[in-house]
Amino acid sequence: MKTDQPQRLAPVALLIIWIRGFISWWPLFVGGGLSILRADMSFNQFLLWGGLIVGVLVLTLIWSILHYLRFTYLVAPNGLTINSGVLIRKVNHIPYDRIQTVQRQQWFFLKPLGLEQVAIETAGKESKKAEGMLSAVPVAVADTINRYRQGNVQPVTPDATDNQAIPAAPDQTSTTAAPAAPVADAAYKINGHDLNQYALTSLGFIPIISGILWLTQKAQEYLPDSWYKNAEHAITGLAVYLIIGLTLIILILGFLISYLNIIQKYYHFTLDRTGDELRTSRGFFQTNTVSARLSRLQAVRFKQSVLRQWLHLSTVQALLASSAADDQQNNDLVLMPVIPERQALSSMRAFVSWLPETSPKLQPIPVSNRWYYMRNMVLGHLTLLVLPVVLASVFWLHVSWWLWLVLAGLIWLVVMALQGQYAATTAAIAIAPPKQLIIQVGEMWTRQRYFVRKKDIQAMTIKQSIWMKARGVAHLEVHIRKGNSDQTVNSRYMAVDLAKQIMTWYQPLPSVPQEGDNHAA
Amino acid sequence: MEQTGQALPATIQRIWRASAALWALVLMIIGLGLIAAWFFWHWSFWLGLGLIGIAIIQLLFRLALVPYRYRFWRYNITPTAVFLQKGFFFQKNEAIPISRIQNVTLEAGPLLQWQTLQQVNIETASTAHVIDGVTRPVADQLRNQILQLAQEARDED
Repeated sequence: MKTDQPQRLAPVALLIIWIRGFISWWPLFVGGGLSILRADMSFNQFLLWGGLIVGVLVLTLIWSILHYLRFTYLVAPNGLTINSGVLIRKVNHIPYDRIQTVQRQQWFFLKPLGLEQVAIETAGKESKKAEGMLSAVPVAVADTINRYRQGNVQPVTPDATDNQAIPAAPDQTSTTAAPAAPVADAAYKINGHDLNQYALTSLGFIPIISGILWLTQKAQEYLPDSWYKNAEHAITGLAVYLIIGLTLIILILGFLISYLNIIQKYYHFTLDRTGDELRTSRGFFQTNTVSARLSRLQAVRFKQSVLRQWLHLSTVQALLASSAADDQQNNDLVLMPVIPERQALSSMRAFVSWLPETSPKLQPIPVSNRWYYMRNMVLGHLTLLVLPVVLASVFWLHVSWWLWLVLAGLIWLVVMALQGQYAATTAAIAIAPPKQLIIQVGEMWTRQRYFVRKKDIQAMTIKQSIWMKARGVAHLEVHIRKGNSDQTVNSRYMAVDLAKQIMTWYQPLPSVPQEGDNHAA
Repeated sequence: MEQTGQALPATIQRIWRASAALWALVLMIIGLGLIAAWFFWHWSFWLGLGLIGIAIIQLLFRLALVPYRYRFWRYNITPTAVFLQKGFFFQKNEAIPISRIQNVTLEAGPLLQWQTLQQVNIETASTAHVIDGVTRPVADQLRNQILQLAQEARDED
């Protein structure tokens, strides 16, 4: 493999680009599919839909071919260069030391071909998409990029990087065999028991069940009426059993889908650290490997849903300054899917050395302030959700409807009050000497504990209304970079003295200590 | 909490008033348009009237708040951090360490140009902070001061 001139992607990339292209037109296919199912479809309509679908397939194919032909990349000693663009030609040069994360994704059918997708992220704030996206390239490409990246401790001169590359492997001659990677300083591999536990305690089945319910509802609309009538005759007496049976099936199905999905996603999960480089790898159908530089870690988060809190299990995630990480919609990189709460910190220290040995005792929200959380939750949901819905139903729906809605609204408010209570009892904060802040928040029945270094806190804000001032209460906002944007972690209704103490730890206020004027209450 | 740091130039109040008035004007024009729609196409009369009402209320509210807003706005630039403080009923104190600052930009829309003021935008890797308006020499000085301090802070790291 020559590396001194721009390379095309592997031909299979054309197929991938095409499939991705026409999948983005999915509403058209769904619409077409559903209207074909309908009995009253005329031949002309059929032709129209068919024509549209074929048209989209052909157009996206032409576009993909042009895209493929225009796309070249070059892995040079001084950086990665990508030429792309059909109408607007683009040359993107990414120096290796600008790279935040390298994400490799390999579908099982690409494994025999020795190909994978490589997404390269820098810290640029502009776009949501990865700066460098190589849809299908030999695995040696990412290996080479990673080697250049690790060699970048020294100033970038072609000689220096070449010399470093030689001992690792006889340079870019091997395409399939991984280069002799340096021995990891710390490594973790998930075992079957942990993975099973992780999948069993996931609450991912809730959205899946709602999805199935929605689908069955939609399906009813498209079933011919005659089916219904027949069915109704046959089962009037059995209706109750049918409903119970159906509910059970949906529950089991939802849970099973969620379970299997997590198993396949975190199959063979590994985490290892080599010097300053963290790497996670996972997946059954698609092997997903993310390499990130440890120094670019913005924060570490320990996350526990209520269920996992009961079982004393914790998930550890990293907040990164780039959006390539776990899923498309989730920027946080999972470092440990599941780990017993007590071992979590000590195990993580092998990978993230700046974490404290033991977590200092967190300062909870003063008991007298906790009801604010409940009050805000209830008032917020009352004014923004429950009241409008109930009022609208009073105007437009029959009495029998809105009585039910009022009842549902009340139950909802009780649930929200409990959620507020949960958030209030969970919220806590502490400084871990000398240079870290620990903030714990409760959101959506999930406890999240952030460990942030002082140098990774971008800004801090204290907010206080005049009524809060009288009661010695304040909000503290901590801004952390996450993905390509800001993650604000809030410590609400905390004691103002503690808030000021933390602010002073972060940045000493220029004036004399401002005590004494807020103990009016 | 007592006031520390610099106040904004007094002329910023004119800009706040003018901006409140402009907003009211825009809302009123839309409101008049809606009343015209009532006249020609029998839309609901209350739509237009309501919007004009909102325009007037927001105008009065914002005009009344200008002195208060001015009174409690403070910025303070020390060798290590930028501190911003605003509000009395809802007080907000922001601390931005100089070493986190990535970029400082100066910006002036038509209103600020009219009073020869400039808005100072301070960006970190994840947040953006604004000093509503300072005179041009001060703006230049602030930018240079912040950027120079930021450079020094980074060199020390």
